Amino acid sequence: MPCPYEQQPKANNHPTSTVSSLVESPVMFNALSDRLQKILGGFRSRARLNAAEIESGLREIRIALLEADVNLKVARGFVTRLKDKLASETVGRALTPAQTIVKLVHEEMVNVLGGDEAAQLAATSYAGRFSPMMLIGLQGSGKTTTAGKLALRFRNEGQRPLLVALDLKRPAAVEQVSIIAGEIGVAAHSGTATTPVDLAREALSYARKEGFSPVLFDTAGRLQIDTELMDELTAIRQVVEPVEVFLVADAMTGQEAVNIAQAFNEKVALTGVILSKFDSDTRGGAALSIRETVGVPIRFVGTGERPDEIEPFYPERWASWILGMGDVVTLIEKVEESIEEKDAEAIAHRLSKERFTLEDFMNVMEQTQKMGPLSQMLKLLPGFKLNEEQIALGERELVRVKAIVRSMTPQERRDPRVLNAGRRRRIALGSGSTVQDINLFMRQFKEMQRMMKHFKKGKLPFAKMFGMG
Amino acid sequence: MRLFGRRDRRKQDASPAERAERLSRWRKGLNRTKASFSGFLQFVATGEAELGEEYYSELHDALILADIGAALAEKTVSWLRTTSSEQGVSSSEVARQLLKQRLTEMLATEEPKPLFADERLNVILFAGVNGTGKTTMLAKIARLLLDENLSVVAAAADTFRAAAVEQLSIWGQRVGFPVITGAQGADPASVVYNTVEHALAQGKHAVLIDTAGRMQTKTALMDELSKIGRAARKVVEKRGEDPDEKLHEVNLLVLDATTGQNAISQAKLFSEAIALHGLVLNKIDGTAKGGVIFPVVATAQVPVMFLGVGEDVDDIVEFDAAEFASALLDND
Ligand SMILES: Nc1nc2c(ncn2[C@@H]2O[C@H](COP(=O)(O)OP(=O)(O)OP(=O)(O)O)[C@@H](O)[C@H]2O)c(=O)[nH]1
Ligand SMILES: Nc1nc2c(ncn2[C@@H]2O[C@H](COP(=O)(O)OP(=O)(O)OP(=O)(O)O)[C@@H](O)[C@H]2O)c(=O)[nH]1
Ligand SMILES: [Mg+2]
Ligand SMILES: [Mg+2]
Repeated sequence: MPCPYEQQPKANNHPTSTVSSLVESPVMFNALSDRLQKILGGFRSRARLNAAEIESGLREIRIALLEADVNLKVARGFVTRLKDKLASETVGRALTPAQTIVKLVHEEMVNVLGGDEAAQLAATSYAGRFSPMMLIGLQGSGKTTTAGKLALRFRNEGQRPLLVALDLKRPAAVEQVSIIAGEIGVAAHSGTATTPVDLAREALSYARKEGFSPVLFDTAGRLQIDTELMDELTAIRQVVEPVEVFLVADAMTGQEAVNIAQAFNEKVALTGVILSKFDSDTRGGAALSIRETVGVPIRFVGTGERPDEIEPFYPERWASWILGMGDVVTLIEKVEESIEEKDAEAIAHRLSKERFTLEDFMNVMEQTQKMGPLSQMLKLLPGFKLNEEQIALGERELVRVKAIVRSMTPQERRDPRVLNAGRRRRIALGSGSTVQDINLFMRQFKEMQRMMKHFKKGKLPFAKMFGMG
Repeated sequence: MRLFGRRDRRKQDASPAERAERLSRWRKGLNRTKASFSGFLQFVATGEAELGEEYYSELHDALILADIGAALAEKTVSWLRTTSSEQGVSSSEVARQLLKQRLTEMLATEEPKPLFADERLNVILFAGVNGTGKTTMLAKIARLLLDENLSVVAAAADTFRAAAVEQLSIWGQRVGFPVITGAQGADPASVVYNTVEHALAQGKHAVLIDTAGRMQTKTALMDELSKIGRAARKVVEKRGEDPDEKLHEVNLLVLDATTGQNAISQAKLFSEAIALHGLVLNKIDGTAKGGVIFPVVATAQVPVMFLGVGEDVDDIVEFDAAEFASALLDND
């Protein structure tokens, strides 16, 4: 029986506790995927929706968008369009009403984010033409780091990029560029001019003379309301005549993202947006806000501090991510990229004959680990909200499973049916696990084999293999 | 606010003009925001609006656009609605005062730990995600301390980012404090260790630690931060002294006002890695209102200590909850 006094409100309420009662718990700021999954998942299990349900569903979607930092006006517009589409969509065709909503939300997201232009943009080649590019944005958004990342990409494509530091303001900004250039093995221009505009001019003629291209101009961070510095950008743009003007924006940006992007676009006419720091746990609603209000495509996302941590932006995937469908496309692609062709073929061949063996399993596991840490990959999977501890657990689990398979004879791996009690004991001993572990794993493996049958030749059902799909 | 304990009061008394000047600079920043923002803030600020549905819905939108978050915006509005009706308030001007009071209370947590304590080695650590303005804020605070005739040494514990050490060293030259460095890629905790040893040997008043920006979700980096946070105590323990008596530690989480709801996750995960004593909200001179600070304060349960209002070394304002709320809502 609890002390009754404890249940009475405390007389002298400290301001902090007032706030705490306002903010129930940090957990309430659910990820958009969770929210939508909850609402839409609920819809899915029912046959039809009434107007009130649609209304409350849309409301939840709006809140989820806001919590993902989608701008208020953008979120409203999004939901309004969704409502209109929903109203004109006749129910009673192949899809249930709930599925209809899912489909429409996804379509609308992809639509706003730029549809299928991404693939074309990603394939943009600057080879064979002199290509100056500018990187602009607020202070600390990631311009300099991103300039290095782009330079590395171009270098890897066989071009001769040049990095140019036009930031004469931030302490050691020029130094930062030259260190990055040294790390990735590209040239950096070190000029003698004393203003950014003169420096740009100087670097440009140097690049032409020496045959460097693309030329990446890293500018100083500035506020979009700083007219003097915004004028400076205009002046640089006139001198440089860039083929690309990238706004580098922080993926964690809140409601202001639209005003920032709009101001930079009006003043300097952007050709693309790069969202840095997407490796945080942000939902990146800024992507939706910026794309919708400025109409400029999101071109790349930064996924870490290192020079190779940049990826093209694919609306299709991002929409899936918001919807909690996970980024399965990226994952499959990564698997396909990292699995060597002949191995993949061999596995696919056996798969087509419905014989997925433990050897194949080991093979895939080994290839999988080449793709990077498990934690990275789990982030790409749908519905996976694992904390680091659970991921570490999963990683240990993989180690254990590998030990089990390693303790088997080649015959056992090819045909696990021979695994009798004696053999299982031996394997348990050899792998430092228990017979129960082995039994459990063999059951999981059987399930895996069963699922393998459903997949077509050449496509590896990675997620399902781990019982995650 | 008594960030400097006794020293602060002396300083405040001495220079009300200076304080007013700094404040007006910050206000100017916020006013630029207001000018570009024709919705609620002016609406409420003029006090002309009628206290009805339109008012509440404008208020709701304004709070969201200030990045306060959907849930807290809703709660705040419904609180105002209830309170106004309970108290029979019909004037929007009175409602605005109620709201201001409420917003102030949300930010006025306990008295912050003083930034400086006499007779101790003061160790001030700057942590946060990438690019929020940690290094710049370190230089600004070094300036504040030097102005008080205190001796300062900085630890260049960002051994990762390109030219991070050079950046801090240039600030050191400009502002006038020495910087202890380690090799690129060196263990940052060992840089802190060396700096604290140096500071104790030289009888310095304060050690300022510049850490590398890190995403709060990267466990390895957060573990590294915990280790950095323990380094100073290790030095003291090794000398056979009691760190609780010898040191005055202030760990600051540095946030970017442009950040949206992710700042809440930052507050949560950083406070799991190190004991936080205060928050810094940088780049408030931009158009972002930094409203996420409200749920952040509730999450981290520590006060905001400083605002960063520009890139120069004196672009710093001591935080005051009432001033902040008033700058958001008042029309001067
Ligand atoms: N985690 C992560 N950090 C990033 C990413 N991109 C940049 N950073 C970090 O963000 C911080 C700021 O990056 P910079 O490249 O210096 O930013 P900037 O825009 O050039 O800054 P200013 O020149 O001062 O305006 C650094 O700590 C970078 O390492 C990213 O995609 N992920
Ligand atoms: N407008 C404005 N810019 C700021 C403010 N504080 C810092 N900056 C700028 O933001 C950029 C990043 O500042 P830094 O101090 O290098 O940030 P940091 O957190 O140390 O960055 P990392 O160490 O890379 O994580 C620089 O261009 C600073 O000049 C501020 O209050 N207002
Ligand atoms: Mg830069
Ligand atoms: Mg720094």
